Amino acid sequence: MNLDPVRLSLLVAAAATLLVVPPGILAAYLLARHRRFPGRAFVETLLSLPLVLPPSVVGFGLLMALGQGTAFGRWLNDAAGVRLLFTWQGAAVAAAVIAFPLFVRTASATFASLDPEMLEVGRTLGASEPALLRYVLAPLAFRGLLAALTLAFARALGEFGATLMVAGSIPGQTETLPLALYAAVQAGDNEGALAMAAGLTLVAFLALWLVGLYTDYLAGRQGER
Amino acid sequence: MAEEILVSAAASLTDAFERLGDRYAKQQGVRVRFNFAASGALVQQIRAGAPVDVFASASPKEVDDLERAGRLEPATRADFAGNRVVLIVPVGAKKPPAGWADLGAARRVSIGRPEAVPAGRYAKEVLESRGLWGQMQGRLALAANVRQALAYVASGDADAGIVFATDVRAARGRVRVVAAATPGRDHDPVRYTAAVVRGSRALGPARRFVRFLAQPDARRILADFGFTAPPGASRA
Repeated sequence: MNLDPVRLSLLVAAAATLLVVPPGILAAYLLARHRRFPGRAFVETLLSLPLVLPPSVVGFGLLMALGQGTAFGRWLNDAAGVRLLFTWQGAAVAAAVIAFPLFVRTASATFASLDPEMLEVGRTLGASEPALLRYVLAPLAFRGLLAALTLAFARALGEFGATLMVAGSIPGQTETLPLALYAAVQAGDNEGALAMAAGLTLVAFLALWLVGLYTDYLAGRQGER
Repeated sequence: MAEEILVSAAASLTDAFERLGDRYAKQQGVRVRFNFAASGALVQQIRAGAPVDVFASASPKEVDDLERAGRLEPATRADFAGNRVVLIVPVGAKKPPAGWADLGAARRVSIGRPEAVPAGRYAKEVLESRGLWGQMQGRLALAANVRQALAYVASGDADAGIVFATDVRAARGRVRVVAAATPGRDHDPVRYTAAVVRGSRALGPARRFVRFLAQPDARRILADFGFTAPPGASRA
């Protein structure tokens, strides 16, 4: 595989988003479903941690977990044969960890905003919890989840610090747009950096804008009720 | 008032310059602070107006770049050390490359990013002179500076790396040298060059620091850390 930074970034961000969605939906659903349980604040804090942690802390943690520096890392590499450092898959894992809280917060707010009566109706009709999630919640929450997905994708696309530490900067393999931009600045290529910065800014703007439009739409709809 | 200078120096100089700075501070009563990074990255910082007094590069190219940009005092330029380029592998690796020719089989090889890191540029020259550059594409982990390239090998996460001979002692016991490049044939001789940055607010101490680098005291410290004398001819 040898991809230019744009395609590579799209690949890494898409893979990261795919990694985030299943555990993200589960965590968001459980948080929305169980409003009160002991340690809820602790769990919420833990899930949100990558949002405020320096990406270098996340990168260091992943480096330890995935690399040759720890017993677990050596087991992962040698026994399990999972080699993630310096690979695009490793970059995706780093981006996924960073994007995860954004997805969970948005998705959990979506689930929480749904009309609980809908669920009650489903339950009285004898639907199991997974069935409720699949046939009632997911369709109702579709737009909200799409917003969460958009945010997670945008965040993954912009990930820099943890990615650099975990995946290095291998042109064609792990050098995503933010890393290529950094390399361009280090090498004094300001024109290249400007083009990449403009592209990344545009994508980030569009993503936030779309999510904003959706939030307004939601607020408008709630106002009608 | 105690004076102070800020020296932006190549990452490979880290340990030697810290000791050198102590010595200079004792001799001159001037505090020396350092900013270590890839020489190319330092050039960009200084071009952008970083308030640096002395620039010490692992290659004359970066000094040329700054001189052309009008950010140096050209008359203060001085070569002060040399170095060797070596191939390293992690200690305890199972089937490490035994020499340059084996690099074709290595999964990950770390070098400095050639556009910004002199050690990486020398590494590229070595790989090119040995006809390996093309086949290494996609397997070179490009580090932000030479010490990062070293760290990738020291942790065992890269199968091999190309760094300066002096870097090896910063990861003593974790990496070992399997081959050394031949200066002049494999790559341009490594030439460390320093100069005073234009606009320095401590011009006197900055000048004296650059001159100090060529004096026996400094030469001895640099030699202790494995640096050689600057390669002969061209500039002196």
